[in-house]
Amino acid sequence: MTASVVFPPALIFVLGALLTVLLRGRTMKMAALLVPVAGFALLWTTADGSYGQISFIGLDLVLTRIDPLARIFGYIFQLITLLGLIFSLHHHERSHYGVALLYAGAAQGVTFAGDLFSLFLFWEVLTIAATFLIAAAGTERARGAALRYLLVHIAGGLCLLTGILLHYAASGSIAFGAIDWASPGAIFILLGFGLNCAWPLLHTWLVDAYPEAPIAGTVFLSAFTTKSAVYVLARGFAGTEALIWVGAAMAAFPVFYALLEDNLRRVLSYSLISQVGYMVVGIGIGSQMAINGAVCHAYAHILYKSLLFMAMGAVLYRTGSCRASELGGLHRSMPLTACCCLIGSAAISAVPLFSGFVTKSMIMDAVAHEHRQIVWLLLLAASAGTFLYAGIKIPYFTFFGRDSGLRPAEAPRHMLLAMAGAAFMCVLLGVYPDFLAGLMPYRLPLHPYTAAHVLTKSQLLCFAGLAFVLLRRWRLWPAVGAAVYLDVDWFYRRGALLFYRLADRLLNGFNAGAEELLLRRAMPRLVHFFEAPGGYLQIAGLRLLAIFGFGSDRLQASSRAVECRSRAGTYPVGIGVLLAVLYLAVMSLLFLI
Amino acid sequence: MSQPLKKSPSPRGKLLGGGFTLLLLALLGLDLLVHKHVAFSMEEWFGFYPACGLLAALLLVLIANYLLRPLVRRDEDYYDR
Repeated sequence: MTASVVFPPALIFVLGALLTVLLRGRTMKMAALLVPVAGFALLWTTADGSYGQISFIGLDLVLTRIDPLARIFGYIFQLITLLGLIFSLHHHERSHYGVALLYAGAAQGVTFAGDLFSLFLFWEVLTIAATFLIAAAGTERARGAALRYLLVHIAGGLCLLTGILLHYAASGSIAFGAIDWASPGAIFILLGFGLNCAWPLLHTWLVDAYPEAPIAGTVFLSAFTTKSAVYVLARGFAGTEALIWVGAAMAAFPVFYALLEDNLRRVLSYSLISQVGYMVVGIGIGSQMAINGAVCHAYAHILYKSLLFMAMGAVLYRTGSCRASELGGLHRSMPLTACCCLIGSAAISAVPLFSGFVTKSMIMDAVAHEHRQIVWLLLLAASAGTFLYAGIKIPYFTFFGRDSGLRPAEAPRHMLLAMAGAAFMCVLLGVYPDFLAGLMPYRLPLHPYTAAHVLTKSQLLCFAGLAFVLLRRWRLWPAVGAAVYLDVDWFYRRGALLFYRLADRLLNGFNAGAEELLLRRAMPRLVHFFEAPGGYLQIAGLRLLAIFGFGSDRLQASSRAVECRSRAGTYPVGIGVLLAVLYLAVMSLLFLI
Repeated sequence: MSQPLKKSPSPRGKLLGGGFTLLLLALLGLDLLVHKHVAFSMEEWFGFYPACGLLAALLLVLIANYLLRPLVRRDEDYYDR
């Protein structure tokens, strides 16, 4: 057990990331694949407890705290790292493996951090690694999305840091455990977590960035950022009433966008938010049954969601498109990918015998157990919607439906292997729920397969399917086609442009005005004046005297005489003398004042 | 509930449509036979889950298509302009 004192699981991943930078080719890929396996072996052989306690600038840090809640997240993060790395074997650049392992390591770090300080450090590494994963696509859109992702998450990170500092100042403890949301700083911590969890109004970074990332990058992205946020919420804020409503809104609203969107990876991104909504509801309820449901749903969700992202990634890899309007009929040439996609769709739709059925039922039962009827109805409606966009829309418009005429080759072998692994897990969790029961944070009986459960779920799904058939027949199904569907990010994407234009008008306008006044108008006059300063001053003096009635009759003659003297150069006062006189006049005036 | 499905010219399509209609009818029939442990009284109504699935799906699509879509749909290069 002393091994983990030296090697917290996160450190294995970080060292692995460094190792990939030193190696190359096949050796580098093999080394990268071994990292999650080593992490799993370490976690498997380490008993629950706290390891690696160190004191740093007066703070008691706990680098590794293993308990059932952290363990289940640790396992699934390691499994998805392995599957994601297998899926990305077509990448030859070392940076991909390095950043992916760093990202996975940060997720391990967040999961096993026993204190808020180290949690915050790993939280920030998550953001930075994710930014690089998104930008790696190399397109202009991806770079823009990555920059927006970074800015939004830095704001969230600062919010979290504020909360942690206030919490530490008030409680005197940096340990990470349950936090009362009414305590000082807790609201900032909650918002910081909520941003990574993609709460409504804080969610647009996700649907903006994930569809732009490279296909392998999205597999990692879909697993770590939001689910590590689910983990910290489950640990810190279980039973916080407000989360029930946040989660219900989260489960429901993305359904509308997912039904409209043409880009199928963006459909999956909205669907990700909706599924995380179920977990947030479970955390909000906070009973043992609900926490079990939320955690198991996260476990199942990571697998089926990454499976769907892999399937769409493989389609994008082979055809260059993942738009519903450009695809169709691909089952003819990509039957295995189609099969894996169907398994993922069945799992997310909670079809009996697939993982989502078991885990979603746990949350629905926990909601029903608390007699929260409105939330329950919202989640039920969202389930029907999920079946429409993920169970039907994605496989139908990609692999079946109208024949697009595309006949791409089947996905590469490594992609098929990764998809098969995830698909196998989706079925395993569905047909053998005891596998999950052994990992749940609380030991409770798990009986998903009652006749009533299976019947009601089948009824819900089949009649939602009937709605699809009718809507297609009546031509009421949303037309597919390239478009942008505005979301809350409009406020900062358009708002930033507006601010830029306003600043441009205001500051550049001031600049232009000053140039006109000083350079174009004042300067020529000054130059003109200094050609004969003494003469002009004397003429001005004469005019002043004339106004008061002295020598007004001789003004013109005197002015002409002065001008003559100036032109002839016989005027005795030069510029140097004039400036000296002016200087002395100003000084004596100041002295008098 | 079980409206006739779109008539497909191919025999396979007809078979699928017929099979699906039978499945829906069977699921409705089973509603009378299977005992449910209910948390809410509405779950006991005949055809609650089928109606819920059908209506929720119809409403979600119609709201998305006719309320949300006109409000938020823009050309693809909207943010690039």
